[in-house]
Amino acid sequence: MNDKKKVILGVDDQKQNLMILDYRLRDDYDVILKMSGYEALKYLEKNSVDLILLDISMPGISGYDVCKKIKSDERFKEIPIIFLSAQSQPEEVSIGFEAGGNDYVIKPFNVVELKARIKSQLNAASAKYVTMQNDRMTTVGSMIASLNHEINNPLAILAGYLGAMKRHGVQDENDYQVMEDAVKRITKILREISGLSKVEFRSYGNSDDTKILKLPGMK
Amino acid sequence: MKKGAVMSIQVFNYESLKEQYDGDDEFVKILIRTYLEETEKHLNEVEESFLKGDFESLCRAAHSLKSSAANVGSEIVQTVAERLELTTKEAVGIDCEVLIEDLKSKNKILSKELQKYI
Repeated sequence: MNDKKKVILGVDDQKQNLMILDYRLRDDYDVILKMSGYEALKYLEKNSVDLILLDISMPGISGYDVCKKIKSDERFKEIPIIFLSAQSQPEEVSIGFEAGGNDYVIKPFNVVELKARIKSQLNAASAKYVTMQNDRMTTVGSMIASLNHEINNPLAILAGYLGAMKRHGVQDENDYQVMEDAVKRITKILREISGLSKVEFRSYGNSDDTKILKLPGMK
Repeated sequence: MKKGAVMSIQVFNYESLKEQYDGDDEFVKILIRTYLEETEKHLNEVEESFLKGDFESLCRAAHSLKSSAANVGSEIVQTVAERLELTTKEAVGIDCEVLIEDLKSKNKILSKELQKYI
């Protein structure tokens, strides 16, 4: 892993809890602290974080709702969220998972346990990221193969006709038309490829990359 | 119940809190100071929301108190705060006044104890 510290966003309405989080994690992580769900969401708009530690019981917007908002946003949904709550009833834990939380730790937490859970979530997130990058490369690879085929076809026609003309001269006026059509097809494909650089991958996590990258006229 | 059993519920134990934070006196003191500040705020919230009949806010303030007390390792306050939280959550409300008084008096004992260390 690289030397840069991962960024953890801690959200809790109680100053004391945030102080403890900071104290426990600052040696290993870049810790950002926010005192409300609104502040946390605002922060996410402009900054990237690797993991969120989220309190549940907060005035204004609750931790559950913050989690739902994050998990329904394409840009943020892959950020692991660990609920940190003094709630200890099983149903609270289950609501947390239903809201899309990745893990749940009860406060006051044991520092060794919290660190282990953070690490496990960060590892899972980076493993998922690698898989997605690989999927993209596969997509790009199959696109190149298919483009190759699309260009080779008219190119073969051109080469064939050109060879025949060289040997026997022009036999049929229609041959020019066939060759022109082949050149047009190649030109069209090349134009579409140059437009491809403008096509952006959607944020990672979207398995529909292939559809977005498909060119018009491509099978 | 024997008297010893009652006494076994901790008001506060500075040494064990300090041990939790690897003997970091400075940080434990900050933690205690924050407890005193925040608890006063939350106790006011408890009383105000009780008077207004706003049980949702009352429940949340009790929850915060529970969490703060747990952070300084005070079972005695944590237990009452939790009871108040659960009572208000289920909107039973009957014992609220008694519990609030109990919470205030137990917190007073704890705060007095905490003051010695800052």
